[in-house]
Amino acid sequence: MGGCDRAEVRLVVRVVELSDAQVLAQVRGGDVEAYAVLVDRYYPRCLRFALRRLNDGDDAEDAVQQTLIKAYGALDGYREDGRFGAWLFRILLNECRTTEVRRARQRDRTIPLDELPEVGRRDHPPNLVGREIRQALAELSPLLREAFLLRHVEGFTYDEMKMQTGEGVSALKMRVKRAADLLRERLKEVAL
Amino acid sequence: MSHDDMHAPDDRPFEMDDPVLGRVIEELRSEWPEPTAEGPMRVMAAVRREADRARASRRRATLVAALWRRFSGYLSGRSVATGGPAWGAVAAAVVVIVAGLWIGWAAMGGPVSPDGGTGQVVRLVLAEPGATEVTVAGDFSDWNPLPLHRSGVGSEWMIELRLPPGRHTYAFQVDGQRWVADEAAPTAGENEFGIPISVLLLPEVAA
Repeated sequence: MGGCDRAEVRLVVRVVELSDAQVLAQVRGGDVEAYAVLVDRYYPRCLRFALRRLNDGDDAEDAVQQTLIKAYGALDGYREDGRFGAWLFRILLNECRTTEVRRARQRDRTIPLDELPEVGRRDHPPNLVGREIRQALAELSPLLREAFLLRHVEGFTYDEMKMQTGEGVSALKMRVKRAADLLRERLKEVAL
Repeated sequence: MSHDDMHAPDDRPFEMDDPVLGRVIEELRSEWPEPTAEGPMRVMAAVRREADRARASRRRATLVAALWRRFSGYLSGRSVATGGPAWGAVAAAVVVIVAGLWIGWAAMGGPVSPDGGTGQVVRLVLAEPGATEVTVAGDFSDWNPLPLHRSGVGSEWMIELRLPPGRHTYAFQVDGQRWVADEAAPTAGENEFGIPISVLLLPEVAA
């Protein structure tokens, strides 16, 4: 035994992030706590969209929370023939639309420039140019704003947007183009 | 496959050609909000409650099924022994059906009175075969959702509302996701939020 060399043991730890499908398999298998992975993964992205869609921090948080709760209850209806994020945003869109309808009956919808919610940015603090951009976005009608955000900020395909909104691809393309034209016109004088 | 791979030749990303929109998209994509600490915790608390409720419901269903098997088996066994028809099983089935109808009726309750109890009773019905939840929202509820109940007829969902005379606008929502119009009512197209609006006109009722 004295002649044995001590083996060098090298422990390699590899962190593997579970895919959405893998997490969903755990949740459907009865592991409720696994759903927290999806909540943590999608909450910020959903909140980013809801903040720009609704222009209100409290309403956006409520919409996102309701979306994630409803998504858990509707998991049996998720067929996994598309991205989980796209399916989740379908629920989020409807939550945002419902919130807007309720809110429109309760108060004036004009959001002053200094009341648009500030959103943290990865690299830089909020800035004046960013505020101009957010104001220009807020001035779009809800459906134009929604289409632009889904396509160019959240990166969904037109087929996914069709699933999310129930609208035809042509109508969605028109809305995205119209939103882009309005933003371009509105911001052409701003030193971006 | 990234979403950029889905671009058709006439659908290239804006940022490739348009510096203004490219800057807009870059700014908006760089936003990454920090959720409140309570937000995700509230979600998981609600999810755990839902999971507990579903487990309790499954346990109840299992218990009812076991009791039914034992009860009907007992009564059927007695009928076989006497050589007669399985009247016991028939009687047990009648009891279960009546109890189910009673429980269902109790759950539905009477007409919902969003405005406090005045007006005419109106029944709204929606056929949705695969739905697990249907609600209706309208100006009569300040667009807060009111739950419909299965009417027991095929795939129909139903709610009774007591509404005052006049024009009412509303829409159904299926499984908290999809808004649908009432096919039995006139429509007013989609509102600015993309929701298909149905219209209900209630005449004044002669005193």
